[in-house]
Amino acid sequence: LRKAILPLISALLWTFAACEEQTPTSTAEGLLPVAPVTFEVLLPWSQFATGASVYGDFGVPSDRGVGVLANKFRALLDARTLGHWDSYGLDELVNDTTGTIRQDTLLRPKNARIVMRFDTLATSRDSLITVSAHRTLVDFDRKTASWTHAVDSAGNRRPWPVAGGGPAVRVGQGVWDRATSGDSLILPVDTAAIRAWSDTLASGRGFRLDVETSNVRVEVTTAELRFDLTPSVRPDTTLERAIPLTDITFIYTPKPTAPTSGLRVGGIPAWRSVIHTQIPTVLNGPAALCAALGCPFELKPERINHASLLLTTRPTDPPAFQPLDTVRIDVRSVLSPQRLPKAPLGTQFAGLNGRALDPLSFLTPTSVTIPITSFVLAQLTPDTVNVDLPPVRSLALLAFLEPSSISFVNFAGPGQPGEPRLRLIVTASPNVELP
Amino acid sequence: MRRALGLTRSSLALVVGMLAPAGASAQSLLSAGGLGIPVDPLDARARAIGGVAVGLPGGQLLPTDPVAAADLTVPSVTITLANAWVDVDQAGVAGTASGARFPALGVAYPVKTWGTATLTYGSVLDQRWQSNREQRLVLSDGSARVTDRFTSDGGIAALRLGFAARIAPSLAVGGSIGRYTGDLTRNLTRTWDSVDVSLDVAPTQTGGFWNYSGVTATVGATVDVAQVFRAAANVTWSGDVEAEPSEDTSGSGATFDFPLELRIGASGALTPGLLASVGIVRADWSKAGESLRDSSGRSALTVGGGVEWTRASIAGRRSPIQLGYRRSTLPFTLGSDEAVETALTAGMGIDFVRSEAATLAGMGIALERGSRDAGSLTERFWRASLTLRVAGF
Repeated sequence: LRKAILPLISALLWTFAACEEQTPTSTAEGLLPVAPVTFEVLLPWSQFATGASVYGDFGVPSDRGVGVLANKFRALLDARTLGHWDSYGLDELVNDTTGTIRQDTLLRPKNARIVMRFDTLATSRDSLITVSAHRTLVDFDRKTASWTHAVDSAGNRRPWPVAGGGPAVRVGQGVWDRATSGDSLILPVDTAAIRAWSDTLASGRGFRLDVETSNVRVEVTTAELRFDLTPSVRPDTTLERAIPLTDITFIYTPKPTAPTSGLRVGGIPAWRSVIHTQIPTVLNGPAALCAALGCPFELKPERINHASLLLTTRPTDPPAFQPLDTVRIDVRSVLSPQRLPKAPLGTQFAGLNGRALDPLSFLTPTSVTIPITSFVLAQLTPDTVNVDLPPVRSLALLAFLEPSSISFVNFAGPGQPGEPRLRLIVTASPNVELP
Repeated sequence: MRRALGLTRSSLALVVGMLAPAGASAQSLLSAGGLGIPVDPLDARARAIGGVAVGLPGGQLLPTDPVAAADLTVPSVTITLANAWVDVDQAGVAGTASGARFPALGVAYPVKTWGTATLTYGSVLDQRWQSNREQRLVLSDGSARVTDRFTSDGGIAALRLGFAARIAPSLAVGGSIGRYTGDLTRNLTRTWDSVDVSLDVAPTQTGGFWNYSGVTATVGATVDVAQVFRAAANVTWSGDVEAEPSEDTSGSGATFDFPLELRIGASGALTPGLLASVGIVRADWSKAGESLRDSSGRSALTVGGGVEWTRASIAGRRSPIQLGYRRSTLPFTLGSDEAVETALTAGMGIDFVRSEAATLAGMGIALERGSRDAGSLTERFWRASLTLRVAGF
């Protein structure tokens, strides 16, 4: 019998290995025993939402770490950039003409300039923009400085002597033309400013950048102070110095007021809009759905294939804050609406990088779709674990990486043309029965 | 011998344990009709001789014929495996199907001199198939392609406990009682083409799960005339087969009145070493089909026959060769189309180890080439069956 085992097992393995499992499959129409029906339903605001609110003052300009310059942009917006240079001295150890190393305290600065770079995508025009540099004479707080106040913190509120970051001493001027200098501007400054900014005991060690050209808005991504030093003990030698920023911020006027209608997202400080929803558990329309599936149609979670929030863009008001570059918005659940505007936020619905929107889409009303399927399903599915927690019913619309830009965007709010709608794709199927 | 048998016993127990839950399948789209396509739990030899289910010479272990075990004088285990490769043509649309199954498993054990007890597990109906349909749905921002996929997976098998005894040199009788087992999962899934839809659209799923249960009993007899002719017949009674839905199944259950099944077969020696066999199986499934939705039951008749040359040998081992033909009208319509299956069959066996009166280790192989037709559906198939038999432990 032992001799028989090997051929038996071989035959067994052959039979197992020889055949791949392939279920017989039909593509004939008639063999499908049930036919699911799919409908797209657009719910108006009144059928899925209970209200909307707009909240502001999230973040400060210094959080962004860039500068903004504007001069009566679209006849309204003025913006100036403020900052401080890193500390530096005007003495160095230098080899004199005899080769002896000496501390030279009489170094002579020359060829001073500020090298700055612009965000060319966030700039309203590309050529012949005149930018001036100033040395501030009043100390300011980079975190709280505004157009009217140099310091605006609790218990310490000091207005600028001259609104808009004044007074200040003009130290230089340059003209930026993207065609010739790319994204950079080399702005010559007085060497006297180099001496003044080196004085660490002086209160006004800050700088201010203004744009002289009217109806312009540009964004300064970085700036650096550069100058050369000529040693008194070795006049044939030039020492190059580059002083980086320690901080940069911007101040602007006027400050936008809260909208009386509609939804607003973005800006610095940032705006958020919160939509409070109440997803219906039954549908009584549209007529085609009722005719096919019967109404009231129970909106069970397993019947929902997709849910998305449909927003309609509106032109930014005032237009000076219209976005110049791609806008990224985020949509997140609001976990404790009773704690608004400081309610913690939950799940992201606009993707890991937010939803990118073309700035041109805010010139004319454009539809924006934000998928919120899991948000809707969570409302319709009882939470069997955290039974005491109310379902999350509020959604916050905010800028991705808030605050991200001085620009903000508007969407139509309840009662306005293009008010938010809820798009549902639902599928219902008869029960699968025995043959 | 005893040491070798001890090793084999544990190995076989493991194999049988693994195979027992496996259902059987004919790998056919006709599984979509009614309660499915019947799968006869035959061994390779019976398949090779035209699917003759009863009345073959010698002792065998067949779920359909408890009397066939009457001549098994030593404990035996039989496993049959079947592979099928099917080309499907449905209204001009071609496809393929394939799969490996275990249509028949069995154990026989002689009980003193009273007779032989058997425990068999055999397939009855196969319900495995699927259907795909694509269509384009119009949405407010364009259209999207969706695919509806319906899958049916499962079948009905029967576990039978039988007993056979030779009560006279020319007469053996036997019977079995058993229980229908098996289940059926039917699911429909609608999926969305992610390229067409730039949205996170979740698929829709709906379906159900049913457990089958019911009882069955078979009685039969075999008559031998001078060791040159054998005639056999049995009748299988089945009670109502219940399809019980699971708790989370929305679909309803059902009861199917399985029919009385009659099997008749005969074999005779044409010349020394050459046997001829014929057999029929008949059952009227009309009543069972009354509660079906898109199908109906009808009278099913299988007629088959063949010859066996028993004096062939390979390397000194007995290796009978079989040829046959089978024609079956299937019990359920596909839609309104009646289905017919025909097959040419061939096979051979090898007795690896043989004692004076019994095959202690043997193998049988059958190959079938056949076709099935139902309206616009045509299937051509190859099926290879392999039976392994170990006895004497």
